[in-house]
Amino acid sequence: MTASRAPLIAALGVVVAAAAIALEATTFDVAFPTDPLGPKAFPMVAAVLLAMGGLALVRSARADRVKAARAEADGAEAGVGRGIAGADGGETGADGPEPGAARRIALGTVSFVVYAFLLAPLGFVLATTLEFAVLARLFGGPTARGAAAGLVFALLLYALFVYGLGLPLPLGILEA
Amino acid sequence: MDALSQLAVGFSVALQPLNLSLALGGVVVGTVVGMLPGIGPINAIAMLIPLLYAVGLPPESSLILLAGIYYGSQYGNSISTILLNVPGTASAVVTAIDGHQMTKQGRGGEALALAAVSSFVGGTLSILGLIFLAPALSRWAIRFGPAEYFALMVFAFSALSSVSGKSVPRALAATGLGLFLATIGMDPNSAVPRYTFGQLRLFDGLDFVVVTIGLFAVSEVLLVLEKTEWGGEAAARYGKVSMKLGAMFRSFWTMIRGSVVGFFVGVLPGAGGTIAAFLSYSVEEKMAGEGGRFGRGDERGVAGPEAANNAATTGAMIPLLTLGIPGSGTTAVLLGALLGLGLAPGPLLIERNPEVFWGLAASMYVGNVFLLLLNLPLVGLFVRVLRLPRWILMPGVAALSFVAVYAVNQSPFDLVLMAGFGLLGYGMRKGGFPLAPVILGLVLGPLMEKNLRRALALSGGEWSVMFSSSLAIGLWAMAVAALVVPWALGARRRARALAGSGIGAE
Repeated sequence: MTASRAPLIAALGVVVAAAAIALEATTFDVAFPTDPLGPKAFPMVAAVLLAMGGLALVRSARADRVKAARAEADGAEAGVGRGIAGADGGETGADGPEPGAARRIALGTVSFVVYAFLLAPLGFVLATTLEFAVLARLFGGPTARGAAAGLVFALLLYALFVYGLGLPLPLGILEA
Repeated sequence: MDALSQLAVGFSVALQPLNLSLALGGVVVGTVVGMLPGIGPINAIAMLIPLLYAVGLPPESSLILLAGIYYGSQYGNSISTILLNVPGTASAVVTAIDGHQMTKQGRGGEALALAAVSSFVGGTLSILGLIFLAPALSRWAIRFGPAEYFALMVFAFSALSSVSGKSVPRALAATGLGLFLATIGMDPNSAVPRYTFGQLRLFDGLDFVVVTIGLFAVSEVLLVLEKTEWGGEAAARYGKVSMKLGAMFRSFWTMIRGSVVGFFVGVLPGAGGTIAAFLSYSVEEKMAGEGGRFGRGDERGVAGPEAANNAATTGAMIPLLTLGIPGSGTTAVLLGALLGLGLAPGPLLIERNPEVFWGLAASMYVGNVFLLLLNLPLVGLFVRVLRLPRWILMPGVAALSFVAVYAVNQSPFDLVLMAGFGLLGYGMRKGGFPLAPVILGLVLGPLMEKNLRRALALSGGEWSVMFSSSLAIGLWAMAVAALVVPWALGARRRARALAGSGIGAE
């Protein structure tokens, strides 16, 4: 087992983001400068910080991979196998995610976005009940009771926001 | 005494029925969110901000509520730590060592009572420090010009970077990300749109409530989705929550020392409750020597850290209120809230808005009394919340996040942004990146840029202005030292450093 590629990819991502930010910053031109620094400098500072952090991470991630590969080569004979593969930087280590975690996280994220688009047409109460039920199911809860809890919660929030605080929430198809 | 007569004025603010009930509400919410692992004060405060803006409470009342959540969370965090060995917030990690041992020995109730009393001692003693140190610091900071402010903010970042995670490169990248996010939108000086990609709704910039809720609350929901089983054994039996006078007496000096250590650590930017608790624990362990039973259920292992992390939250209010410089993720969100309410924390705050500062100080006394009552006789009610199944709790957190984010601008676009930041926050946590510097960068970024540009405009573009006063040079030296000294002490620090949960905020 080789070391995870994730830290290296993340580190490279940080460097690429820094480059993109800096590149875009060069286009911030002002016709009539109001101050000596202008709008470019501060984004550049941010890009430099990102680049410094990212480059340092690329270096350490590559060092970790080399170390892990070496450990694997040694371990193959000694039969140690996994060795320090998991010991790089930030992974949560001992109790990693359960199988299916990536799928649940992807579904959860998608459901947030879908919720954003359903909020206006369906209205707050229905959309929130639906989203609550979907999430409750993703967390391994019972579907019907999840939906019931969601409905109660959505109604409470609606009452609190609209009648208690005077903040508008969309009514959607319930408006009719 | 000037301070005492001012405090009397403060009590007249704090004892108004509205402010009393807000203090009570704040500490109840604080206890609950402090207790629930993962849902910290940072989420609760961020979610309340849009509501506060909508209701239009006076600034001092808003601050009383939000501060109540902040210091109340330091009481609540010991409950889940002691009973379940799951720290409610990072600053309760040390309490787990001896606190959970006591539960295993059937002394859970005793540990809970001790934690509540120590929290009370730390919480109230430190207010004395607040009312004497904050005005003094204000008088000193009144001489700060733009160059000094800029250097001070750099110091805040370097202090946070050196302690908030195990890796300085990650903290640097997180800081850079926060500062970048702060630049999105129309540049206030030149009216040039930056990183808006022609999207009109980005012209006003990112709302920090949307970013904070996405990065912290939504990413927490995603993180919990990794596991479908409820990890905890649903609140162990803890026996009777009673004060053992003997234990309180034996721990008396421990609490006092913990309060003093915690307070001064709290004042330093970046350090905060977690470091304070660790420091207090190691002091007590050393002082006890052979006579200690640390790690095996020593009462002092609960009393010291609990007094310290409460005192640290009070200490952290000082740079926030008198300098306008937050030292942690939570205080950064508080600063964002205060700015939005039209209060500008800084050296002039105490003078210009005495009702805000002294009202807050007085309400913290009141709030701590509420907390003692809530955490001694009523702790059983809170333990029941811990038994809520997570398929109700986490969707509930998500729904609260949605409604709070939507309330900011009534815009579904913000919900999409929130989901994006949720995914980003999840990835950052998995990669061990601290999240607090992002929020600090987002809140301080505009202030930093403003001060930097103002300083250079005054000097006609001459960079030497940044180092022109001894005060500024001193602050730059502190900023460099904050990064270099811990690195030099690296090996020693890493051994003790925060359990590295990647949460980074207290």
